[in-house]
Amino acid sequence: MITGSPNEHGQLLLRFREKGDVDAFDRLIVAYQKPLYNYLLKLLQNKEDAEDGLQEIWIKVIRQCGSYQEKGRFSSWIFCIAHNYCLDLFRRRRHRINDEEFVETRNGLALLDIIPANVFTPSEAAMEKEMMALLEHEIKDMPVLIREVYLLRAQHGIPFKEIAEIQKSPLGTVLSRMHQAVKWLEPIIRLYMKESDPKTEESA
Amino acid sequence: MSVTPLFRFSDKKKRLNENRLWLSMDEPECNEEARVFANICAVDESLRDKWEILRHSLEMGEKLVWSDPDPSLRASILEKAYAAVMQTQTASQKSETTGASLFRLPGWGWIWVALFLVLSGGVCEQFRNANDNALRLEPVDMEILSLQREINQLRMDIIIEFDFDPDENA
Repeated sequence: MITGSPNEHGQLLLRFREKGDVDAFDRLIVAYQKPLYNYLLKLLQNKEDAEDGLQEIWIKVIRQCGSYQEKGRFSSWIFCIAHNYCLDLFRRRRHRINDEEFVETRNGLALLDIIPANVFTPSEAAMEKEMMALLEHEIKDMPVLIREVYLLRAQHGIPFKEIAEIQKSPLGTVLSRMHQAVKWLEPIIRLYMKESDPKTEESA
Repeated sequence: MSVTPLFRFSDKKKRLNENRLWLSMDEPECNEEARVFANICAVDESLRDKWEILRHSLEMGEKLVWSDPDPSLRASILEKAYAAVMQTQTASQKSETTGASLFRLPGWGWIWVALFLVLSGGVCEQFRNANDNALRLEPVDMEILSLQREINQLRMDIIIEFDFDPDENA
């Protein structure tokens, strides 16, 4: 999660831009390094790409700090740079980006049908660990834009209106992508609900 | 005993309501719709189920593993930031020393320039006045010369007519 307020982060960037305050820039790095890295890692699915991407994004922040507007949110601005970087990378590598129909054509088998029965151990902690491993696996297979919406909202806690600014898409489109993400992950979520709260399964 | 809901939503309305559910999750404290939906969920089982799925999807996302980036990246990025700041400062210093240095006089320098202009203006004015006076004397001189000529002519006429030289008898 990002620490500190977006207004404070915007002021730090302005201090770097106008007064050359590198300490202020360092505070920005401390606040956003880990969220950006994890965002890149989950989106690009490659550690080296994520590290290269992180460097490139901060270089772009330095070069483009003149374009930052004081009234805007810094988190939206920097994640927008990261989003554009990832899309450019995918286009260069000719990966499919906007493939939301993919969700509809997904194999209709329930996840439980393809997971061996002995995967789940009796221990709760181990169960949760298995569950999260399954979630990571399923997230990897999501189309890029849908994956991005889910990660930005669920892992980074960024509101949907801000995600719409980052993706430069209408709010309805972003919410639709979230709907697709949840639909994609529903089998695992139901399994998680069952394991975390057995009463849920009984009432259903 | 099964509970019959007081109202039923159409599929389209359910989808719209789901969007609102998502938005209400962004502002759970103050969003009136979250409370309305909580009340609806008490009687609408499918909506309650949907709400639980949405809630747990976010809960699972929060539990995703966070990895740490290589610490050396931070140092490398800071180096670039320092280099950018130095480059900007060097560029601004160069623009200050070149080009408009002639016009960048200190305040006292401008006072001396003003004094010089005033004095030189005064000298020029004096010179112009002297020239004007010299020019104005010329018509008077011309008149005196012409009068002198007339006098000489009259004298000559007197000498010739009366055989009398006034200068000899004076």
